[in-house]
Amino acid sequence: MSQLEILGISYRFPDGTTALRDVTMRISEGEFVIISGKNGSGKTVLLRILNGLIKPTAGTVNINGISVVENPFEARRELGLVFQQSDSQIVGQTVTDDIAFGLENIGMNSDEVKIRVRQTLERTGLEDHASQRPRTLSGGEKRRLTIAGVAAMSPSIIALDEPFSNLDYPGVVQVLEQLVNLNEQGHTILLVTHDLDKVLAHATRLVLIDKGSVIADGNPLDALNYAGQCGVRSPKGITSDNIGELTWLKD
Amino acid sequence: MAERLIFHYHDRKTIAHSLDPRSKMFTLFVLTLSLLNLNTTGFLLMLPYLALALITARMPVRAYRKEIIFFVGFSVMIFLMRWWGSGNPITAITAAGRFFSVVVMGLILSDTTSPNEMSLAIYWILKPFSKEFASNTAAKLNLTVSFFPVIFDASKEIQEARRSRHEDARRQPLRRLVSIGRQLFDLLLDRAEEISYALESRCFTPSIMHGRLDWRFRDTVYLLISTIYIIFVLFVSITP
Repeated sequence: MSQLEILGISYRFPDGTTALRDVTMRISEGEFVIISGKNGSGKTVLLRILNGLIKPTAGTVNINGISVVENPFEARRELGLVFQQSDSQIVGQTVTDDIAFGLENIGMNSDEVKIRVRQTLERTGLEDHASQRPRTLSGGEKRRLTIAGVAAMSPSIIALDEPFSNLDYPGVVQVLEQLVNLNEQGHTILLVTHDLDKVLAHATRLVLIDKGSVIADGNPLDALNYAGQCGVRSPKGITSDNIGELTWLKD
Repeated sequence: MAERLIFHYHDRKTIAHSLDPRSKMFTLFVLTLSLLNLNTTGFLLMLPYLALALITARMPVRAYRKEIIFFVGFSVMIFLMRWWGSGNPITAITAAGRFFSVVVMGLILSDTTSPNEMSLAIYWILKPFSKEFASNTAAKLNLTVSFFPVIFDASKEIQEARRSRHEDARRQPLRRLVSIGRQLFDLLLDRAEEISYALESRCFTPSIMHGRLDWRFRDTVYLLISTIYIIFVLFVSITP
């Protein structure tokens, strides 16, 4: 059984513009899926539907058997969403407070919260910043904090919207390391990005979206053939031998 | 990023920051009520208290200088109106000073108390009446106060972006104001939507309070000293 089932999802904005058309995908546990496409292709809308923030015009989404449309609160415990703008997502006065925020919201008692926060700080390498104000963190650290805040809630799937945007080289490396670690720990990763050369080596699957429709979905190497058609820059000369070079972790 | 200082919480290690928000809010409430009823002598007696509060909070007074100019202007207006109305410059100074003191106290409270602490204090105050009403009000207050810096920052960002494109602030001021207002409104709507989505995605529940209040001996001492001093000033003020 698939961990995430997206069945015939369509979405139309109130002004009539179509954002998604009949999107169907089945994602299994432990996959590292990259979703790519040009601006306005519907990637962000798709993530928000998966998190139950907006309701699709048609279709259904099930996460571990839970219907997102019917039970968004429960579904959010299974799929955590990291937003593109870190500042919008960070609400705590300190790094510790921010990680604890989601845990307190799902009704965890204070002792459990403390343990989970400590574990998350250790796992994400943010222990040294535990009592720091999030506003004083660097861009990369802020992004790591937003991922940590979501990961602390132990969702089986972590979806990220352009996590490398506005980050310098060390920032991208830090975030990428964190994502690879989370995937190794068993979390399914759903990553929306244009920057295939930074991360494609880690992907088990590449989904290309254009004008709200899935154009390609499958093995990254095969799907890359459609990248140009979807307005995504395809790294040149990539074969099965050198696709492993498409990561910034090896630099 | 353009960042306003005024009416933002700033985390520092000071006595004022370490006090329980309930003691600070109670003192602010009593002080504001008292200030409205003080005569000139009482007002003068209250000034050292305010100065001490500013010092203990280690307020960055110089950094605030530019941003507080609006309130200074407002105080000057009150002074002129009062002077014109009463013909007594002392009464006019007292009226303007009272207004400015209330602003300064609000500044100290917002600078030293995080929005979360404020919402916890509001929850504590309202809880005996209705738990649901208390948590909803506290959550709304927390969100509103947290949003103030976003408004200030966004307005500064817009102004700086316009200035960088050589906008002449003196040309067509009304049209400029409307244009800034519209731009600010659009920007804030976007940010509010983004923040609300982010809160929802992290299972935000208004009935759940984050953190806890910690009343300590120093709060009792602070409250006692403040109350005794305010009563003394009020007594002096009403004694003919």
